[in-house]
Amino acid sequence: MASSIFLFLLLIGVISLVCSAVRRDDPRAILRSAVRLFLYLGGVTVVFGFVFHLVTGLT
Amino acid sequence: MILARLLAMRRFLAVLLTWFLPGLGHLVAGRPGKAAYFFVLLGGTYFIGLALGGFRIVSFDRHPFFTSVFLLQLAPTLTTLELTEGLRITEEILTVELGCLFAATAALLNVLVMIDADGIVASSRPGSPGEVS
Repeated sequence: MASSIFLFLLLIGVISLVCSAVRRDDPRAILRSAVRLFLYLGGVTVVFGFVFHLVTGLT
Repeated sequence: MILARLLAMRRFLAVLLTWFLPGLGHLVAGRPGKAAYFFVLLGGTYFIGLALGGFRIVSFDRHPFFTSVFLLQLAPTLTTLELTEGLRITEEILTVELGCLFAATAALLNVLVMIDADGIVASSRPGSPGEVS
């Protein structure tokens, strides 16, 4: 369970880093954008997972 | 006219090389830093996916849909297909789906990298490294 969550967060991190680097060149801007995107995507995933758990009872 | 054709050829070459190997198009476009960044990120994610799937997920017999998606990273997929062709599944691998997800995500993200390489070449003059505004 914990390793699955870690792997999903890792995947979200990679998606954030790649999407942020498209059409941007400044490393600081890329990092700032990646952190923001990671928080958005991670937050949505956690909320969706929690609601899914409440509705279905699955973990 | 000739400049426009040259630019079109360079754009096509950048996209084609990125399809072949992530980052190669950026290298041709004169962005070695970004080339290494995308190569490490997408190559690493693809490799983690392969490892999670026990190096048995690239197979048209077992996973035809996913293997077609993996072809968006041409060279790594063809190499893996060749190297792991003879491997048989002897025991259940619990993280196969997760491995397919990782490798497929890396392959799909390569489309974004192709678009980026195309944009960099399009916004640069032929013969000089591109500048993104």
